[in-house]
Amino acid sequence: MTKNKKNESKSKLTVYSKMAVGVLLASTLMIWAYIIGMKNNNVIGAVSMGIVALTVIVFFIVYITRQLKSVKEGLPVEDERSKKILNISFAKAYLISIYFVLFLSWASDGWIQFRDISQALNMSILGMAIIFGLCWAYYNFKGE
Amino acid sequence: MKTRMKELRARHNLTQEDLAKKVDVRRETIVFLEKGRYNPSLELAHKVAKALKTTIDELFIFDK
Repeated sequence: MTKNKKNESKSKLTVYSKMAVGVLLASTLMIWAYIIGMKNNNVIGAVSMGIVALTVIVFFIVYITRQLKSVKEGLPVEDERSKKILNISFAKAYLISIYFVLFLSWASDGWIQFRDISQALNMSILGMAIIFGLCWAYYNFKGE
Repeated sequence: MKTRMKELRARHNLTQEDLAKKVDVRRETIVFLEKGRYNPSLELAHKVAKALKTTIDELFIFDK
């Protein structure tokens, strides 16, 4: 097997792994939205979660399509710029997330009522993921 | 940072995709490099200069 073929197989495997993660994430969010809507009878909560799930699905479809196009064209799926953007996004998202969690903790004393600690934790994790996605999109389109 | 990448790429009849393949990066990286919106590493700058048969000095123009 030549080096190019090996690289292509590795790239394909990377893209398919990302696709699997995307499907799992989107399914989890959809199930979450369903549970909120059906079990808790919280229509606004279910719609909000549905919008988040749809955003994640659209984001992953665009992302995976672009990656598959790169593989077909024989180009790498990751390079120094994409790695740099990922690192900057992780760092910024981490910093912003600290303030987000602090905000949630402050708000939970007043106008946000969490059912239990697991719901607060889930909201924090989801918020962190959304903040990371926004940071990544910002730096990806800004340039660096 | 200004760059003469687009001009030199056209002189060598290369598409962005061709150049991306030559230097082993994504096509978007070439787009951002040509717009001067990405500062490449020394290694990538060297690879691009080599692919366009020029030097880093001639390819990238630093204002400051």
